[in-house]
Amino acid sequence: MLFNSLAYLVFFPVVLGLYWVCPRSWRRMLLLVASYIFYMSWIPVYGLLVGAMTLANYVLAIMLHRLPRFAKPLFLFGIVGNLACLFYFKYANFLISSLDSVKQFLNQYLPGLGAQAVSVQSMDIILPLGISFFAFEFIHYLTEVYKGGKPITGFVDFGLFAAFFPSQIAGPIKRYKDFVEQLGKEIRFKQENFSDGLTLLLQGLFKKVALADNLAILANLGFENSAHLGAADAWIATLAFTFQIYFDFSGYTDMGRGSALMLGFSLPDNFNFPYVATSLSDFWKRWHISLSSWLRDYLYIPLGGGRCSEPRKYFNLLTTMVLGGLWHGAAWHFVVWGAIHGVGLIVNHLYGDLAKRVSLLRNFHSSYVGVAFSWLLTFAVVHTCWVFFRAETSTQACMMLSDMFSARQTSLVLEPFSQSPVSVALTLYCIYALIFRISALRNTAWASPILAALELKAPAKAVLYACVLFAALGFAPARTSPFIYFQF
Amino acid sequence: MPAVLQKKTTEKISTVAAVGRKSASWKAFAAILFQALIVLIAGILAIELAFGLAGIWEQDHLIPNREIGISIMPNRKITFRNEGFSRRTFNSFGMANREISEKKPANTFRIAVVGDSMIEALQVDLSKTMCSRLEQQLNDIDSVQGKKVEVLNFGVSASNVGQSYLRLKKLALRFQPDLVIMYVRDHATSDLPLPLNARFPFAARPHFFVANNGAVYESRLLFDSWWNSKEARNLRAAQWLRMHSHVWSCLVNMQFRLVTGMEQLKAEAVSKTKGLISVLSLSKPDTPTENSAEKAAAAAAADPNSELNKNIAIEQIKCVRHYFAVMERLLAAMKQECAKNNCKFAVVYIGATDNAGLEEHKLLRESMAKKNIPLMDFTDEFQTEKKKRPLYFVDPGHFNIAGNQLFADLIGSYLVSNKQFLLK
Repeated sequence: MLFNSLAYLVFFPVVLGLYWVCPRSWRRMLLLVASYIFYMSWIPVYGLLVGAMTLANYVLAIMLHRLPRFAKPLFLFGIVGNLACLFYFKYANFLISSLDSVKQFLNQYLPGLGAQAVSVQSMDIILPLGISFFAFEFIHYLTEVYKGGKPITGFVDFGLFAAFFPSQIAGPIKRYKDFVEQLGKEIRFKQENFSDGLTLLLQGLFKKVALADNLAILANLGFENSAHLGAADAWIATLAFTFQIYFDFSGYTDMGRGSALMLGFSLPDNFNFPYVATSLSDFWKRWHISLSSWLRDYLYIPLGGGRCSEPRKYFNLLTTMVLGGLWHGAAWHFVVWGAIHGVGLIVNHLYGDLAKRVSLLRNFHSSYVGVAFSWLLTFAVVHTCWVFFRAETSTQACMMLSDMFSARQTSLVLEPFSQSPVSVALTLYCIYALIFRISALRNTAWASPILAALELKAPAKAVLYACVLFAALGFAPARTSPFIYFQF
Repeated sequence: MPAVLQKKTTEKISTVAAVGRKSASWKAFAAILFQALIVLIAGILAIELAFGLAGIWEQDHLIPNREIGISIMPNRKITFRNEGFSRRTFNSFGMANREISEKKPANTFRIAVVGDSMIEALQVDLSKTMCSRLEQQLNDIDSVQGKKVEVLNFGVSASNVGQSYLRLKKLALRFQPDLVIMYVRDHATSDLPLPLNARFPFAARPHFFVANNGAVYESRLLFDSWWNSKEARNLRAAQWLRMHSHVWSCLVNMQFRLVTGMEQLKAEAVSKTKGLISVLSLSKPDTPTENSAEKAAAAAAADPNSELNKNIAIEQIKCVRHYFAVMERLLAAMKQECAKNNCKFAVVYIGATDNAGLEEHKLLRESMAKKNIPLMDFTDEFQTEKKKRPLYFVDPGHFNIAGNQLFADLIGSYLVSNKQFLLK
């Protein structure tokens, strides 16, 4: 079930109504059942897989806590089990196709090795939705319990932590202590939460259907015609994807967080204006925050983190980013994407150290010109990396990058761009973000009278929300694109 | 103050206070409602403005027409995005044409092109439609010896041959054309019976049939009953909103999507639940093919050489022939109407290659030769050319810019090489 689908439009109000009407003691069970219905609406049988993984991790964590003598093997068993599950569904075919490529290479250049005798057929596997997110949350949970954390005792609570539908398919990756703490509290209906949640939900819907889906048309058109595009077309297509992925993913997160808030739960934010970052390390503090903090806590730090020799530190950084790239998808272009970010972060650290020592550089980066330069450079690197992320192969990515500097003159993307309603939708979103988001962050005086005028009573607020919903759906193109992060 | 008086005064004060409270609460309630109303009006205006700037929900351009079934909203500005893109304003006669005068200007040769959405060509800019290109070409080469050529576009989406016949009679001939070109698309016969899709607001249209005496008659029975139905009345009542409001168009579309979406959702939920139950009970899914008779029927349907499929093909051909008889007579009636108005008449056809298309194609060629109606058959040219470059946005679908250009080139060269069409 997608958050922007008709099914969710029916499902969520029903769940929300039942949740606030039913006795408090039934609410967790109701959310658990609803979460499984949400998951099983796609391929019902995969609900059993998620159920089995949840049960196994629940039992393992209890055993870890109760049998400290066997903690290490149990912990390792749990980690290997979760990774094996992830590997089977996500990476088995990638491994097979990579082996096949190696075999072809050997056959071509070293025929004497007898590689043709090896034959592995690719498997017919459908990737269960959100398997990476499930696996990461379970690994986090087992690690924390292994480190001495208290496991979740109630199976319903644990099941809910694992399958909570607002964060089920594409995160944000939750931390179990925060979630259990909220479960422990008495959740009461608050009009403020409801209103804020609905705002987030509608904001996310607008980002997804009015912005990301319209940008997707331009990006898809460009990438489908890579190697035939002129520079203007290639730039529009790649920039369209850069903004599509932001609006798509942050829109999904907003909808998830909004839904959760309306149910009385607070989920961590995943984005903090990532494209205003002035360095790559700043970007990763603002982009997919729950994943980057997971990678830091459960991969980078266990590898040694930054408290080791310089070469080792950079090796750890590169490994973390390459594996982070591979986590996104079982393909080499994701590895390249992660590797470029890794190398970029290393350069970022080295340059940062140099800038601390050289006063000229320090002064330059504290000036407006320096900040603008840093922002532009960061955005250029991030934008280039997205080309590898979006392309289906590394070769296609390279073709697209060469198109960006080609002398050809085409209007394959330019013409649809000039006809697209996306510029009006984007302008509307920018006005909204300026008044409500940026003004709130910067505490600007100019926005106060506007915000005061928009202090509305509940019926007027309801009308306003209905108008926003209508506008979002009105801007949606006839064909919607699936959420990009669903495939991960 | 005496106790009784004090009590009375207190009672009076409390009554006044209660009345005051009541009136204040009513005022507060009214203020809340007023605020909601203001937000609603401001919201609708803002959305109208935004949708207008973005050019969305401006595709609705057809109106119910008592005589023809459907026509185009006069002076309607549209932005078309379904396939391709165009932004244009229909003229005051409800034509996909620039503004023209009803009275033919002196020294002008007029060509009226009648047909469906392929002629209307909303998918491309007005200057790139077949009619515009043809007009430009014929004028560039001075094809009618010093006379200015005007090509008038009478194409209307979803029109069948019967409606084109009515449009010719009621509208096109008023413009005193010298030549009328009727576009017949492949599978045109299948558009003649009443469409089964009742959801399409213009499903009902005047119906033609061949009587026992061999003449073609118009039946308005079903169309009139639709015209008087609640749906048709609502559609007519909402005409102003349909013409001027983006919000209205969006609302109507959403309602349609909601209804179809809910049906799909229900069907999906049932099939997925059944699937899960069968997995849990480890039994085979209970599909209709379990039944041996249904299994045999499914197998027969899957086999192209089965008796069932052969019979279906025979019935399909019978059906094509039956409705072709109607179409043939309508085309002959068009020729007759043109002759009465002292103008020439020709048919243009671009066929597909599948079986039903071939049958219709064969019948059209034979019939037009028999009735002495000139037929511009560009099937081969389009089939050859579309192997080299795309001529449609989606094949089968509407012509893209290249398709419209080729169409104009072919008609243009046909007319130039058959000079009798351009002589008055």
